[in-house]
Amino acid sequence: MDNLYRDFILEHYRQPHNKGVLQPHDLHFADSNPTCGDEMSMTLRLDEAKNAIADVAFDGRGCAISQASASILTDELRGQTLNEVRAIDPKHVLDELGVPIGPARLKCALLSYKVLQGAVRGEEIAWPEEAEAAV
Amino acid sequence: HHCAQPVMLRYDIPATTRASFYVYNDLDDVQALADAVRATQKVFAG
Repeated sequence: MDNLYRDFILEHYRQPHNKGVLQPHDLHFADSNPTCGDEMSMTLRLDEAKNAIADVAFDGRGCAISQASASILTDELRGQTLNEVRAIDPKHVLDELGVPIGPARLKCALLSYKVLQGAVRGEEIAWPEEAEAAV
Repeated sequence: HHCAQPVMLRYDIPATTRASFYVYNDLDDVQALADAVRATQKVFAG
């Protein structure tokens, strides 16, 4: 069981989904994780009504957890409305990784979430409390 | 940044592995570290 989850994350790290930069794009945000040195940016394209996600890409360099998290998270976004994206629960992002994330790696796992929220809200958000309480 | 932030910025290195030696370390430790780094590279390269 442990191996399965480990392989799942490594696969997303080695062949990340949605890696790149959308040109043109409607939304953009970049941020980093001070505890690990991960850097990440996201570009999003909205639909005609400018209300839902039509396409998304993430870029940057970071640890396997941060990259896998972004690969998995971005796979879910197409078709979601901006309000739905704003309402994504950080716990859901952690669950999607499929392995328990210890306190030292919470910011790695949640960097993609933080960048995404920055993009759809037009401003940086604070780290979710689960990440802030840890390291 | 392992106290090497300027050199990491200069050479655009996103991450490093640092060995900090002390009086109790010997060549076996160096070999163990080198083996571990190579094994880790294999895991992440796929």
